Amino acid sequence: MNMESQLIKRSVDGDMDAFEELVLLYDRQIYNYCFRMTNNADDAEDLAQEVFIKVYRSLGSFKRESKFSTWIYRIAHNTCIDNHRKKRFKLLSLSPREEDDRQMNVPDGEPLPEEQIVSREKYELIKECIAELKPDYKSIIILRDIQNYTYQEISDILNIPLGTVKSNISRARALLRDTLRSRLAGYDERRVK
Amino acid sequence: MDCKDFDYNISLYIDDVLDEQNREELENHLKLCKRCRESFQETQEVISMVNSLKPEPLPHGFKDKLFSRIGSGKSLPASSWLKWAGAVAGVLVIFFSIKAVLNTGITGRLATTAPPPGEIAADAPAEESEVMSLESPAEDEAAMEADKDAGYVDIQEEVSRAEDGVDMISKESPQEGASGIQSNVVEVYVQDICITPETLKFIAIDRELELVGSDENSVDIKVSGQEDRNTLYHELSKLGEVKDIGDNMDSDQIKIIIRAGE
Repeated sequence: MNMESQLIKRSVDGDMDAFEELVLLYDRQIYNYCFRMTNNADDAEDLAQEVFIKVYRSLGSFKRESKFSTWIYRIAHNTCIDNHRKKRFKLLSLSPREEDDRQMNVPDGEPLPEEQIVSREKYELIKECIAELKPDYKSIIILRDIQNYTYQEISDILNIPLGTVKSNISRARALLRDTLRSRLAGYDERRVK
Repeated sequence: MDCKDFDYNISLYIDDVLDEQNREELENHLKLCKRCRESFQETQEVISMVNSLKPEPLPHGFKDKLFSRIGSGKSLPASSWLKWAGAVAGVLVIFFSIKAVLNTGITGRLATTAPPPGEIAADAPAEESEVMSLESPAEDEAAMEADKDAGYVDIQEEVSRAEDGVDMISKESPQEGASGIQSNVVEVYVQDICITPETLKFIAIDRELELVGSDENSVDIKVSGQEDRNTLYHELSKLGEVKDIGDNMDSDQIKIIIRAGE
């Protein structure tokens, strides 16, 4: 039995120290997943806490046939998606048109003010571009390109077929690339002028 | 391979999951097409940029806050007594569902079709509170509060859903493709701890479908045609296994019942 399995077993038996160690193994990863999904530190903290509370409550029913990391990521993903739906529902109730525009997943080509691009550089821009992706694409980019999960692991976490994982990765990356390209082009045009 | 296929396959090529034939075709296209070469380089660049994003630091006091919410020193709640309580609650719910259905004179599919909203409550208020008391241990107040915030009120339900989620991960592979809902009643065997009627409401709103009713484990959604039925099936199949169990194929309403997976 590896260390993680031992921690799970001890946690289920009521050992809070073991559960604390288990949290420490995943807290950064789960917080970062929530952070990239929400692009907001406060929301990410709330969601990550919610994830661990759910883990705490459900750990007794965790079956060791699957990987713990897959299980906890699935909880994290569902918690984030549920949160997104709730927020979207609120926004839709207030202003459907505004929300529809915000959810458009095409490169907007909107040029950024020069001073912004100078200070933020591409690195910051890519974060913004990720944040603008729709949740399905965002989660797949985070899992694949930030957290380096395999296609099969992503399929297990998101509970979608392998074929969908492949097509979503292709589409999400292409969209990210095109969005970045168009925003950088807008910036270059402004510089030339 | 044309430019469109190339664009789709770039990612798979970079991740080395492309089959040999497509890989060769892609490499040939890469030599010939300048525009696709640029796209290829840009995609590589984007991936490496995303890959180099630094992890955000954990907020100060994250762990302490978490453990104060959980409440230290308690054993994990998914222990055997709660499973036992859940089993008793499940038996009671099934018993009173059957009773409610029998009282209305409906026959057939007794154990699988939920009675209309309100019937259980109207028929067995005392029993319902008994179920609730089993499912709501007062000792776990901090955690219950967190549940309330998140819209989850049923610990046992969550536990069994988590269990189902794990079952689904380990035993089943998701299926490609989807069909539509044919009848007026479907059951969704949920695979995780997050699916509630609220979730279905959000989906309905998201998909611009009209919600016409709901109760503690189901929602009724109006559909205007096969397209709506297909959409709904597609969305539900993301949540779990969908079983089409109704007998009315002409209804413009679909009852979706959330069930714990097997």
